[in-house]
Amino acid sequence: MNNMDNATEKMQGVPLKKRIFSSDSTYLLIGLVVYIIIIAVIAPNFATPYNFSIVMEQLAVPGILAVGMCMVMIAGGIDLSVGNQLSFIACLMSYFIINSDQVFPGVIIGVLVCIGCSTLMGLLISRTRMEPFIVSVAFMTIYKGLAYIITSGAEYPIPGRIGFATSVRFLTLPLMVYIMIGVFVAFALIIRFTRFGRWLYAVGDNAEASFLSGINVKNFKLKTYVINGCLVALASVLMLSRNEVGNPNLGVDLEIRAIASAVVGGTALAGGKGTILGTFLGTVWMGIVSNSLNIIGVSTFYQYVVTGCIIIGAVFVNQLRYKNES
Amino acid sequence: MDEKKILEITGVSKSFSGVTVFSDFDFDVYAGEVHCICGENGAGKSTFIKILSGAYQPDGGEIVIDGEPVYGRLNPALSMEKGIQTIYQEHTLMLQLTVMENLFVGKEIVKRGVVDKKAMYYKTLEIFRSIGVEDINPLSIVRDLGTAQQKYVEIAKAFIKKAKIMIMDEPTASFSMHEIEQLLGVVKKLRDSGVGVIYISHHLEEIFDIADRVTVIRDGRKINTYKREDGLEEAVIIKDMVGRDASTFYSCESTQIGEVIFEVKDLSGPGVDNVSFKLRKGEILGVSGLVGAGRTEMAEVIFGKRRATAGQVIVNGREIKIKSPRDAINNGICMVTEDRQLTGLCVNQSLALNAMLSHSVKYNTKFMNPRNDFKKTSEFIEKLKVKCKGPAQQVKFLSGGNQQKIVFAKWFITDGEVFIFDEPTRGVDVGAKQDIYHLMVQLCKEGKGIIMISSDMPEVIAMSDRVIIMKDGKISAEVEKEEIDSETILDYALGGVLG
Repeated sequence: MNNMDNATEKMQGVPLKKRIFSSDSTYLLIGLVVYIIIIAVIAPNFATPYNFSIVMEQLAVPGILAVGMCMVMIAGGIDLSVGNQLSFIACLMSYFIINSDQVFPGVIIGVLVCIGCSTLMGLLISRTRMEPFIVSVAFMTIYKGLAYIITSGAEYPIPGRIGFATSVRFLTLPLMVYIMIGVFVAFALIIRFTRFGRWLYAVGDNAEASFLSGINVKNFKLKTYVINGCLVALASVLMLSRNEVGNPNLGVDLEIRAIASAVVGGTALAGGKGTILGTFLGTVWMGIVSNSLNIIGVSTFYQYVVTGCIIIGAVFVNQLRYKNES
Repeated sequence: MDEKKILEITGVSKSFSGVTVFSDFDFDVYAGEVHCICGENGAGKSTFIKILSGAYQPDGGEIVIDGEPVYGRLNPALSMEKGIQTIYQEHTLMLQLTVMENLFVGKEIVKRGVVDKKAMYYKTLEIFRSIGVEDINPLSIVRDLGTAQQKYVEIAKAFIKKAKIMIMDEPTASFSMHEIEQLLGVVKKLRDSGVGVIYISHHLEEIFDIADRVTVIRDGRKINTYKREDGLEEAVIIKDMVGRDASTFYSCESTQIGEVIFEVKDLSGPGVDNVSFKLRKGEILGVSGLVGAGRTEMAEVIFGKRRATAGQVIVNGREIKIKSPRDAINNGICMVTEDRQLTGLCVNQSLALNAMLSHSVKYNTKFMNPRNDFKKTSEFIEKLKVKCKGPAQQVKFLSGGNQQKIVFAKWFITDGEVFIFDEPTRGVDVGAKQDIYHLMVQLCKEGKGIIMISSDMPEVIAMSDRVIIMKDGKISAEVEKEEIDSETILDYALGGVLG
């Protein structure tokens, strides 16, 4: 039964045991648990409630971006601009908040601009033959420039104006963690229980066959980018709320992290493959690794190297499993 | 026939993770003979090719090439060195290069350190002449050649490598009739030049035309080998292939033909020129013609993949405007495309996802419960006798015939009035073919109309109630059931040259 794709975990009639062991996510989870145990033994201050809450808080923004990235990637696209888009939108919001001395209008403008930008990018990708990779790299550069233009290279601190994401807490965890978990659950349900979810895999796997099955592929692809834009807007608000400063470097490397989380979780760049659960575990992996390295005392420079190795390792294991299938 | 045995295989077996796919197989080829292999999809033909070409190591048995035992050390390089050349079903040429460059890739003729293009040019012509192909310019870019011509280039390429044994896996897939004839001519030339040809095909007519011997395999075992001199009988071979009597091969029960449900009036579009026809309830309308006659193009214009430039499409007396496949589906038109892998299925996805795809479009089901998808799919898996592990299995693990049944399931679940089948049984084994014919008759009984585009002449003749024949994007003739025979159809397809 090892040829069951993780995309179809929902297999009724298949014994639970086989279902669990046929899923990519299971191996990820086992690896994660083993890793956590090892680190917990080495570093006593790792497995504490306080550290747990820190890790979760750090995960929230990358997690939300990873969900959007996973969705775009399953449908056969990619968006390399999300990190800089987040910086740009956060700067834009803080600019309006400072200049109008009001929070809501600034946030609303930021959200609308964010969704508008993503829509524009989606239109370019779905209506022309331009590669999403190239288009999104171009947008990445544009966003970067815009963020610097707005801030003139400096930053807009807005202390005490929009701190809800971390100041509101339940059970010691900040609100943004719950929002992230909500996003994951919502998308897991969407993928499982809606037509949209089915079409993601169909379009990503074979756009031509999907078109001939009656799907309006162009509009569908556009839709994935618009939804991704909404998630970026949400992430921008949370990021701004957590840091209370609009800074062009807020989103540095976040797109790479989002892609890495999705890929570690089993999402394929070629499209048609990936799960929300896998992406969640991928996100947690990335977060736990950087946190644990911090605690052990490994320098940030080495952390980059380790993270890169982990991505290669995870993708390699996925490849092996894929090879075994066929 | 030269009585020299150039390949002898005895007792070869192969199993994958405990499952025996190929057992105790004996086979031999003489120089200058055509030895055909036929069997259903999944019978072990491709495993056999892979063993011979060195891609798989057999678990036991002996392989002797040209008197030299090679068991246990056969690998792709050695296999080629020993003169075994394989023409695979899929193309392996470099499309951007010229014919000549493809032929001599890796072994260019070099004179004083410079590639001698002139020598290569003449050598290419010579090789083509020796296999009886006249119409290929060595300087053409391969991409610009037709499917059949590309196949000849591959054969020439194998020939240049001093092939002693040439394996051809379904070489005529997507060939038109006269292309098939031409290819069989090439195979005969190869045979006459002393090459041992192993020819694998679904098409029994081809096999009867060229085979010196026919070996039937089923479930990885050799069932029988027949010699031409002892007589080859279609019924016997089909029976060996499917393991049961094939007397009821075409289920051509006549059904009640009702009123017109579908009509095309003066339809034009890219590749289609002023086409008009009517389709009645319960009728199978065969569409015949040579490859490139505009049959698929016509179907694509009707289905909205290509934009019509003029004309009307009328379903149930109502004129409809079709701008995309979605419009066609919403108006009750279904289309099984020519190439299920490229345009029919999402092969990495589950059977259930594929089966429910168009249904979700047509009935605008925003929310879908996987439980219901699985139930519905299972129902059709049972109904269409799809061999699979269940609705969660990925399509790519199914054999060709079963994949095709999943395409059918998609459209049956979607439901419609008019079904366009473009080459519905291409690359499908005999058993599944029979099931598919049965399903078509079933559809007719339910009062649907079927447009069947097919290059398989016996299929067209046996299944159609009426045949339209296309040439150059136009309908050149319409033939009623009583007058359908291959000569008439071919005559119109070629443009009435026979008068």
